Amino acid sequence: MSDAVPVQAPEVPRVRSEEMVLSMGPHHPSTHGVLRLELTTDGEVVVSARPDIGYLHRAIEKIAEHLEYRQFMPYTDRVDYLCAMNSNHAYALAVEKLAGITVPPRAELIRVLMAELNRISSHLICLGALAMDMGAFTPFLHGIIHREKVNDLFESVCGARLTYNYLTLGGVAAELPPAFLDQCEAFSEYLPPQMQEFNDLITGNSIFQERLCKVGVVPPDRAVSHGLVGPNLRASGVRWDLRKHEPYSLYGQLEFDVPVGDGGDPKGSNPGGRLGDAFDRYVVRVKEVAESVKIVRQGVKRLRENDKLPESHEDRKIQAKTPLRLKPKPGEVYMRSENPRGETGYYIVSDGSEKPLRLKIRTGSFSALNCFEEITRGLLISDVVAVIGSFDIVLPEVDR
Amino acid sequence: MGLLLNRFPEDNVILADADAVLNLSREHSLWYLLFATACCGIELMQWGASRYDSDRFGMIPRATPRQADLLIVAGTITYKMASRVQRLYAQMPEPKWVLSMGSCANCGGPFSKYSYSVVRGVDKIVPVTVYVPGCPPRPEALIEGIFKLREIIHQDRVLRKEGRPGPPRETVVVGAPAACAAPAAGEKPAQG
Amino acid sequence: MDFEALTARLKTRFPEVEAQAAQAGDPVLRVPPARSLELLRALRETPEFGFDSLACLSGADTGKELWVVYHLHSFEHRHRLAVKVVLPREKPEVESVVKLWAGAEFFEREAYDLYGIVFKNHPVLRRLLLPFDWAGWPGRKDYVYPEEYQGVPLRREGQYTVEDVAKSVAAREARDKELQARVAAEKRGGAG
Repeated sequence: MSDAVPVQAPEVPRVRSEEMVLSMGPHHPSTHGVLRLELTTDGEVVVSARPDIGYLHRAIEKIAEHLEYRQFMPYTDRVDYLCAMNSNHAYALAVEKLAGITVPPRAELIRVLMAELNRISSHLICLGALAMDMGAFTPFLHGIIHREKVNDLFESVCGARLTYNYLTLGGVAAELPPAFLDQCEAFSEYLPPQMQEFNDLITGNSIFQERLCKVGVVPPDRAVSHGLVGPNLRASGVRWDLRKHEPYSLYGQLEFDVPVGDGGDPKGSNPGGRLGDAFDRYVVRVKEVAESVKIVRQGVKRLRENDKLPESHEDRKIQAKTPLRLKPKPGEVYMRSENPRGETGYYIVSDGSEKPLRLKIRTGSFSALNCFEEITRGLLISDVVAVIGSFDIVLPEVDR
Repeated sequence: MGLLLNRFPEDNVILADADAVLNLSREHSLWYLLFATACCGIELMQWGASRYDSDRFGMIPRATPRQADLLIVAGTITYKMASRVQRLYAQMPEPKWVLSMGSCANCGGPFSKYSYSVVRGVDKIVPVTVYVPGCPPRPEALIEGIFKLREIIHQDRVLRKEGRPGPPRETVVVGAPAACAAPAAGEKPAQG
Repeated sequence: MDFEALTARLKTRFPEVEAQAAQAGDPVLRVPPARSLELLRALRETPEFGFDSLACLSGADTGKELWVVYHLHSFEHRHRLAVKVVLPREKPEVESVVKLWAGAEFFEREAYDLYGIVFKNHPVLRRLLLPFDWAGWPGRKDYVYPEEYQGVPLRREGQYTVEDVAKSVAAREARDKELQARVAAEKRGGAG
């Protein structure tokens, strides 16, 4: 006789998953600067990623209210140091619009040349850092080597490698050294095969594409509503480039294309992805480097023609006559220009004195963080890193 | 190894000062924490990358303070960030050194006059060993700062008993001429 | 459409708006705070205006009043408009436009953080750039810089403050004036 008692199956408790609040940053090797994300994760899946910024808030806008207009130029370098020439240019344009200063043609040419060289070097760091965040260290070293060549060019012009303070209100600070145009031309010949090597190395890599395609998709209408600008906006399919559509300086006379994202298009450069994903943002920047090389070549050609004029000619001046203590008439201006990270707008209010009443800097990375929470819902933690890198966020721009 | 390779005709015992050997190994393999806040952070990255390779000095970046022994504070420190810097410093195991890179970390830099949210110098929150001035300092200046730090580490006497302290840890300003001495604390700076 | 055409079209529905006179720079449209949300919604949703992009939203302090300035842009029609809302200093409140442009969320939080402007119906109105326990609205003209924050003083020893600089400048100007008066008196005394 068996004493076997029927064994009852034990009750399996229902599996619960708790959400975990994780603080990613402010010191983190992958956040580009001191950005803190409050991640609420359910296992590996992110439920919400809220950015917490202000770890680099240095009160640059308040400092502007204590300084004269020309004294503020070095601070614009520090707002976005990866493209300091462009940041200088944005501020100079705003003040010149407010005070009605006309910049001489040679200075405009030099400014455009510097701006495009700095756009190239800024994109090189961004692409390299994105690859490094994805785990590939070599493209970063490639990017830095090419960027060092641009640093050498800038160092020969103004003596600094990172924060140049080269533009002044009304022109540029110093004349170009004699061999500069030849070196620029040599750089524009040197870079395209190097970018081809860079592309062979990482852009077609299937692991890289797996990590970036269909990740962090920003639909075009949400991009416009959130105020995304620059390559982030163009990657979502909106063809908008301030150099082409609201031309300033000499961009109206130069020839270049505006690359736009085309995710999902089987004949495009992102066939496996979706419109507005991280890989689109990466590809748009790679194409923009090629366009900037075109502009550099045109700029060098025009500067060589300008060199043929006699030294005392009006068009050879590099600085317009501006009073040292600039006192613009009362009024306000909002002037925006195309930085590598998007639109950098300066809103300057003048009350007739030599110090601005209010100076506000509107930057592209600020809006990129604005839409961050919306588009990272449901992603994995490693995808969050990809999204940060693809937005090309630079924290001093966000915090000012 | 090149000095000792294939040199002696028979097996040998090499006698050396224990402190020298310890300090030699410490100063030639300083692993720095990858802590970059602002513009100096880019110079730090460029110093660690292709052209100015920090790896040839034995210095590699570590992502976590638990594995680092040098904290290079590169960039502006704000009040919001200050507690995190202290926490990172506390998490580093001994022996540890701090190198303050750039004007903002030395004294607040261009933001030291009119900003309300910048800590005027990281030495208010962590003890600093070497200051490297510049805005941002060139990678060559940073390398010189590392060499000065090595000299300071070389002076350390680790094995002595208490009661016989080694030479004090001096703070050195890189690149400053010898005649220009910083005023002692409490002394009024020159008027003007 | 340029500024005059836009103003003319808007005045039919919102007679309170007025174009601000300025000697330099861009023209600005002033609107009272009570009707700002309605006006901005009309600007966004009416097809002939079509301002689908908020380029910038800034707070400002003139010393007497607080402003909120909206810079709008239309991708369709390629026109721009600046709208200004003037708020009283004691109770700066205005409706939030987050439902119209999602990008306004961070901009409004920053304006609240620096100027204390309260945006009604904002989903998350808290400080953005400064630590959460910071006291005061630093962007305002009458903001007094704190002496310290969490034990870390704001100035380095011996560093001049903004007030010290103003005092020394005033003292020097007084000395110069006195010197000039003395020189003039001597000249008069010598000539006469």
